Amino acid sequence: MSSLNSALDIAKTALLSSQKAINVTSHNIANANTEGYTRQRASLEAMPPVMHGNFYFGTGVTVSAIERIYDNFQAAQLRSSQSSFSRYESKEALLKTLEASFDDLNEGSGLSAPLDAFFNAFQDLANNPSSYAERSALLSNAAVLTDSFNNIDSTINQNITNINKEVRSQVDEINSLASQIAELNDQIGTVEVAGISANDLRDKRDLLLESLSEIIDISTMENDTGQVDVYVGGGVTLVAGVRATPLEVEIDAENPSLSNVISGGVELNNRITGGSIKGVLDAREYFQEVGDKINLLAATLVKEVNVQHSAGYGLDGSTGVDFFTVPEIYTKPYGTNGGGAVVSSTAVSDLSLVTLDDYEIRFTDAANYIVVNTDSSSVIANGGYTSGNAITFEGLSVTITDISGAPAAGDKFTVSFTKNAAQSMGLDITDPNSIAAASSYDVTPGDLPGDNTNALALAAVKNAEVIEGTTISDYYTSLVSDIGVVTAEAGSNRDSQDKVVEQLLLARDSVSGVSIEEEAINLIKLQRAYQAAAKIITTVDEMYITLLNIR
Amino acid sequence: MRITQHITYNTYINDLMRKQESIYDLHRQLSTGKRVNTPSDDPVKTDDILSTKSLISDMGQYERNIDDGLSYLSIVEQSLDSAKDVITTLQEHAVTQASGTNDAQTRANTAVVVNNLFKQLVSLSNTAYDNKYVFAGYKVETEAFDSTGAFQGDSSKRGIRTGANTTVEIGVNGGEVFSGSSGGVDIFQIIADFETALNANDTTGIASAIDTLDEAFNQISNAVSDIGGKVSRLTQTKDSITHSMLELKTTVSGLEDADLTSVISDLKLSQIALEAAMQSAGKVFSVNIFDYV
Repeated sequence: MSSLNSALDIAKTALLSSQKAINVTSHNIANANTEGYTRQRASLEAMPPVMHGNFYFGTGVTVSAIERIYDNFQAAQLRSSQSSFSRYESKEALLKTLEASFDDLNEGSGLSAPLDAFFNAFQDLANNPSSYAERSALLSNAAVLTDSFNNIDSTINQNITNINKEVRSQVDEINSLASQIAELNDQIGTVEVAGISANDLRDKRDLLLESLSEIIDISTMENDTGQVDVYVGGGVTLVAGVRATPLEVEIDAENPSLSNVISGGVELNNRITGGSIKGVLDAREYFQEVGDKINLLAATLVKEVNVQHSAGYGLDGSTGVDFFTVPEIYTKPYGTNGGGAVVSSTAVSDLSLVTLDDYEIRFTDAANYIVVNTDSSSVIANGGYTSGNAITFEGLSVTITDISGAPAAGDKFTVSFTKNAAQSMGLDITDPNSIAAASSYDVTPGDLPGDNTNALALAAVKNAEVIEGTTISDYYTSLVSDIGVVTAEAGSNRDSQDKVVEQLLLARDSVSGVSIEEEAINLIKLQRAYQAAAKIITTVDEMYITLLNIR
Repeated sequence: MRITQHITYNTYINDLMRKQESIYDLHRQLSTGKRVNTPSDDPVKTDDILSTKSLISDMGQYERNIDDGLSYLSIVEQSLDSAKDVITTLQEHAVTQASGTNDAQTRANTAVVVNNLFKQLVSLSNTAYDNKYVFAGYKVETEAFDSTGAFQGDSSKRGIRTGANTTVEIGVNGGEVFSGSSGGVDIFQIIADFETALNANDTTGIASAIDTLDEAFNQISNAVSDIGGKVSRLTQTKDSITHSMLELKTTVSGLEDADLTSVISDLKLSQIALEAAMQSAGKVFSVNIFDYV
């Protein structure tokens, strides 16, 4: 077969292969700046030889495959560090907004200056207990303090509401990416069943997986047909072949201010370990912690100041007056309650007995209840239940009434004095002359205008260790510093993950990225090969003419 | 390692961003003059700064309390000094009128003078500071003594806070000082008796007034010394507060203030690094393979 014809055929395969290879080079150069593009390479292979006489003769060249230069392991690593990075990035961004509400360092918003001013105003009052000016200054300082508490509390709650919206929109994004991945799985399966690698579709899918991993941490598994299965939250299927199982968002049954991420009835909040959605959930948890602390601070302040204040006498002879508004007691039935009883009213029966702990009223059966202090997990009261009779314990009084039936065994009601404290903090006292600076009277209450003993006692609340073994100011200062610690930690985690992601991106680019120089040289190489093959054709043509001219 | 255009450009962008960020940080320190601008800049220092600032605010309040107490005490001291002068004048009259050379008429005339001095003392005992009667105990809105010299106030003494756990009593009890309610002499009674003795031309009574007025003088004089003691105690406390405040302010400034010299030199370094990065990038990016093949 070593004929002139076969030489022509070989040259033809060389021309065609060079063309195909140049095609690939051109595609690479065209996509040099395409996000997620993986460079391709035409694999040239010698065609099977044929036996002629005693020799094997080659039959030319062919493009055996268009390969995608890609490292699966690198991609998985990159996705997992992307997840960590975006977790800390979104957490830090949210914590920075929280930090801005505690701008005590720049004498901006925050509680330290209002707290100092409030207690100093009591000392000013002690210096001049009968003066209207000092009294009214105290009230305006107190109003600034209660406003600051209200503001911080509403900022935190506003943030939690926004985070819930954010959770919802991120879940929507996850679901949209999941269905796109399932769609691509379908296309890739169809293409690759014929044995051809679906390079560009795979690039597209990898890009989607990368975007997905920025929102939520995923693990993937590629099956024999080239389709990829995606799992979230440690093994919950998000995409299985051509089918995507969307995640859902549900309002928490026990805490309506929270939205949970759900899949197939399973709550995933704590099973998700990465991605921006995790950062958002982390931040929400911390916002709640800070909110609880602010509420405890507010409740402590209300309790200590009111108890001391009501012991004294105002210029107008008033006594037993509350300085701050006593917060309305927070109560909530459990979502699982089966009975028909509800909390109909609440009251603080004796503020000085209030512990600031949280409680649960639990029904052992329709006629008996126990009261459990959930902070210390101890039963502090029990008794027989009568609809409409107040249940009183540790200074609080809660009335439960049958509405559509008696309570069922196992029904529970949460009771908390602190939960609404910062939100509802306000001044109960409006008349400066009702401020109780005096702690005694001669004949009738209010007849000792120069008595400043109670004002001094109120000022001393600042230095008293009344909240978790420390003073009100110190508790607040540690809270601000704690916010700093958590924010700084998120920031430094973000920075270190940022560097990891950068390194991995670099490593991936180094393997899969398009190098213009490399392609330029390939182009020249292929051009020369094409020219050489064309030369063979002209040469063989001339040989035919020579042959045909033999006569 | 294969280096692609993508790597070169991305690395360059990341480096630029990082350098810009550090320049931004340094700029912020320069413009605010502070090293700690948010709690996350340095949580531990945040705690120290806020606690110290709160302490400074407390001390500022103690300083105001003491200033207020001192001006109150100075009013009390002035009026007691004037009371001492009144008693001294009365003593002079007593000595003069006790001698046998004076007759009933001059004594009766002196009695009128004494009565005026009595009224003057009553008015001194009703000295007010900021419209509040200083000798009336807690009954600051009631005159401490009526026109007959009877005490109408109460025996309480006002305290002021001079420290986290210290309260100093600065009130002066008019009952003690003028009426001898806790084991002293009733000065108004002594003067009234003296006047009666003068009107009655009673030389024995006048002579005994010399002794009783002496006791009265001592009683007021002791009260003035007590005030002197309180003033010096308050002044000392104030000095030490002023001193601590200065130290605390230095502490805060050490904690939060940026070290301008090092910030400026760091800024200079960062700027040089940024320029160098831009220059090298310019050189690398201008090389193009198609110029050569």
